[in-house]
Amino acid sequence: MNRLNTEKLVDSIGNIDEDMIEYVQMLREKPPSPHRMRILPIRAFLSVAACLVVMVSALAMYALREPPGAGETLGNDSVLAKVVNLVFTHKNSESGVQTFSTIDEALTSIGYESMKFPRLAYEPKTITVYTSDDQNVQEGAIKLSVAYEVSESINVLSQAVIFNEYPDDADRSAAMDSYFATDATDLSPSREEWLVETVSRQEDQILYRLTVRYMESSRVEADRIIQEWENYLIGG
Amino acid sequence: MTDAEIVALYWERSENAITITKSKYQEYLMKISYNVLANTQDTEECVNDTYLAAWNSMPEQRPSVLATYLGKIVRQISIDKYRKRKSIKRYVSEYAYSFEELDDIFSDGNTPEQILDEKELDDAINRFVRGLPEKERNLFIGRYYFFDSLKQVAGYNGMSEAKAKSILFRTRKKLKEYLRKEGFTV
Repeated sequence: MNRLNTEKLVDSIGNIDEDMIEYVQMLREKPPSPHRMRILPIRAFLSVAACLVVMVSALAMYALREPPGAGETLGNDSVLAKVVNLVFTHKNSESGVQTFSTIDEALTSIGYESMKFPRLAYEPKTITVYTSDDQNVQEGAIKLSVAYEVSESINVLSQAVIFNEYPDDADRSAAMDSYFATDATDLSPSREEWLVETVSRQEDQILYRLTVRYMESSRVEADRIIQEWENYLIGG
Repeated sequence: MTDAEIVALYWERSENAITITKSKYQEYLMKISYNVLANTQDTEECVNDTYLAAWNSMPEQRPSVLATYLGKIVRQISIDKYRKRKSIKRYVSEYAYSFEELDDIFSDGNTPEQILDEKELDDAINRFVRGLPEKERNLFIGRYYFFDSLKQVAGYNGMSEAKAKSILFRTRKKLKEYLRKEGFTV
């Protein structure tokens, strides 16, 4: 029987084919600066956001052709803002709130290098970040806040995203409960799994993936989805 | 000087081979060894042993990429030293952390009746690593071949430390499952 122990495993990893080792060695020789490393996820997000602004502009122009009422967007008190408040207030009820006037300040506060936000039509007025020791939570807060500030239309898309991801009421409720129940100080494997399966998926992929889904759906259907989601959150 | 020219010096039995190797790869080899041992004096010994091992293995061997060839030697020499000294004193090194991460997943099968086909395991590990998505593969090799810290592997893979940690956790679990399917008892 091939019984395995960790030392044998370590030795076998030492015999990984050289072409794969050489490739990683090449990466090691050219390490990105801490600056580049840390802002990469935000850059990726901003690229997506910039694309969304273009798509949303096209959508808005299309909406203007429709009868009055059909293309209304939500106001500042949008659902996404409530989601952000709900989630991060709950998670950080004791640690309070920090408010920043620019994205630069907000990013710097969690260790990102200062950066500009040049590709968007306007500089956001205020970014609110609910403080936490958990970097995943902080990054999530920034991303959601940025999404909120960049465009109300993006907010609309984001709501559809969240709703679509959890079409079943029970699943949606469980997902939110799971998010709320996560203890930022818990570093157990089960939490790591949860972060991989839920948080990173939501933060990095869902927005884009489901936005595309939203864009492909009919506007009437999308508005219905958003309304239901808003009722769920606000109307209880 | 190119690797081929340095290797040629080894084949000619020119002592310049070691001098030039040292000037070109000393830092690289020290890093790998230090990741295992976390002790400068032991690291220097291992790197010197590596030069000697390279000297003794060439001719016969004619490596095309000297860095990889020497890196493999210094990795094994350093691990051997770690194992030899582990009972005397405990090293707090990246290797120790990497080992613990793997040890959490893989049970210790170090029993008298243990029979392990090492070639079979090498092949299985190679197939597994090659089949991983590129980012996962690079993280895995960075952490468990080079024993770089989580911060470092996350850095040269362009992601946050938390994300690298999560991906590595998933990869270890996948590896365990894969090896089970391949007939290993883990």
